[in-house]
Amino acid sequence: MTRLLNAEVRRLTARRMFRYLLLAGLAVLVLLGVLQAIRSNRDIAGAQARARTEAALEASRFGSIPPAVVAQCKAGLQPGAPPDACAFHGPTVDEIYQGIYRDPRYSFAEHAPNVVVGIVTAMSLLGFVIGAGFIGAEWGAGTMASLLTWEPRRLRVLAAKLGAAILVFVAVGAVAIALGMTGSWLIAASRGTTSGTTSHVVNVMIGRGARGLLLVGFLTGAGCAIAGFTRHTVAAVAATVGYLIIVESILRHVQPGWVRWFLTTNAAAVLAGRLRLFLPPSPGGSFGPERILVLHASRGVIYLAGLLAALVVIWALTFTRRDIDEGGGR
Amino acid sequence: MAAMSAVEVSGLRKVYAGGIRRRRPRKALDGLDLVVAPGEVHGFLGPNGSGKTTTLRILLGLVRPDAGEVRLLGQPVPSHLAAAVPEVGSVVESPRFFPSFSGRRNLDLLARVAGLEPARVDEALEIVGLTDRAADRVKGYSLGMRQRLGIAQALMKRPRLLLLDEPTNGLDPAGIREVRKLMAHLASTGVTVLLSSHLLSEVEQICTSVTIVAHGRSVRTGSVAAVLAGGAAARVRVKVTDPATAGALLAEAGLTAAQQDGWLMVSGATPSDVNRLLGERGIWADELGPDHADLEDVFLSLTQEPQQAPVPIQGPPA
Repeated sequence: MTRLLNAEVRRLTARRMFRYLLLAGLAVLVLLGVLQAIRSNRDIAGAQARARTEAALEASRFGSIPPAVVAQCKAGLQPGAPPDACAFHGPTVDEIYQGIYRDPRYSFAEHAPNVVVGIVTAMSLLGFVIGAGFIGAEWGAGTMASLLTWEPRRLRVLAAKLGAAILVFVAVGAVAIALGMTGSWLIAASRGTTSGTTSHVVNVMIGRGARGLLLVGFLTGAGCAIAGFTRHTVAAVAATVGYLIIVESILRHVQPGWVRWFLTTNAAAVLAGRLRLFLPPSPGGSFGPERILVLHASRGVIYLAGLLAALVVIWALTFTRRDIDEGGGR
Repeated sequence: MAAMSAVEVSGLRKVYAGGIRRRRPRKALDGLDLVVAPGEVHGFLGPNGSGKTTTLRILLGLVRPDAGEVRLLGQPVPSHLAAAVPEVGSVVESPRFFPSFSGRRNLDLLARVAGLEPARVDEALEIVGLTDRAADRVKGYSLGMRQRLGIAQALMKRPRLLLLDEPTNGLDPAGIREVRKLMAHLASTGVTVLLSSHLLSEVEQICTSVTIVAHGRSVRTGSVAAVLAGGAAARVRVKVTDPATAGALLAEAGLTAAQQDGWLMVSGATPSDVNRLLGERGIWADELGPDHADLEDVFLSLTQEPQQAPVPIQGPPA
């Protein structure tokens, strides 16, 4: 089994699609890092001055209420109204300043958790597409027959392929997250700020990264499994895109209450750790307050694990029972 | 105790279910029997659609039979196929490889599955003459080169049994000769070869035994010499002055005689029987002898009619 797994890992990592997309991903990561570094500005005094100027300008707009408006207000006052009822007090310059001033420096504590989300999302999509291609290409090229003449135990072959894809993408995802965090820290340390990086922030990032890797594993496995039973890369990707467009997009409007069962909702819950869903009023009345449903990561993990298990079982059943037809493939 | 057969197939049946692409169910095998003794180069002959490739696929566990028993190197298939597979090399139909990988990488990945040492890859490439092109992508290979790469992957295991489906398909004459020499060499080293081919001359040249299949059944099996002697070859060529009279005489005796290119071709008797029959009636043959039919004649006579059973050679009339 180890030999089979080793061979499958080598086959996956030798694929041009895998290498090119990974290189493209790395290039995007570097490019975004460079852009963040360029945008980061340590001229705090200048930023503060610009914000104060802007705040003053904004405050002056509030201060210059036309006299006609004030007169109209006073004319409409009820007897006994407070004397300053028509004294329009807009926000002060300080209040506006507090609202618009942004520290121009790249902040590790602020940006790094989003970097994790971005990397995990990209790796999940890559894992799904490349995982599907990894299995679909075997059927497309007709090489499954050749492989089975070397290892006829089909469940072992399935396990090795699934394991190799998940292993590789989780490992690559972990490296990508580590690279992203390192790059983010370097940008913050050299051109921004690392202040505010408390143990809480670090724990949030570690938790998000770990759950993100679970998500990468689930989606990579799902891509493999769907391509496994459809025996086609394009069919797997098309089925998933079709699900996202037809099922999720349409049902989101038709049956908003079903949102909690959507793949994207549960994936988001896993990544965020906790997701608040605003649902319409309970059935039976169209009036009333919105219901708020909180989805925890654990629920999302169970949902995704169950989904993956179901897909793998279908793959295993079709793989072990169907003949390998003429041409070595479908 | 008799030696264990390399391949043992009995009562093999397979019906492909109808589907969207294939509208009606298709009976591929209808009780096929096949035995290949160790060390034989066994030809597996049959017209297109007779069930040869399905049989090989069942032997390799790629297709599940509906009924019948299969043993490969003594191991029941598919339940214990994994025990036999390390010693079975195979090329089924056109060998398939990852087109964007080099020939060497394709073989290397398979070698890793079986835990073979990397030297086996080079060795196999050397045997089939692909060492110089091993680093090239398979998509740039000709059909013949892919075929040779397929043979290389089969040889990497240093197998005791080789299952080859049309192995010379796509090869140029020099390549065909090389593969035939290779098979002869492998046979001389004790490797058992089951060769599925539609090239009758190839089977006649290389194989020591043969099974002819038609409509999913074996219609003749045995050594090549025995099959040639027992099939369409059982004819006698006679040259006489008056073939019409001689033919009528032989027909009266229950034999089948027909004129062909100035010869009287007699079926159903040995040369001595024909000579005796004619001599007893005062007809003396100018020339008389067995008609040496080739495998093509036997093959055609056995496979042209559906459900044709082996025909016993009739003795002379009492």
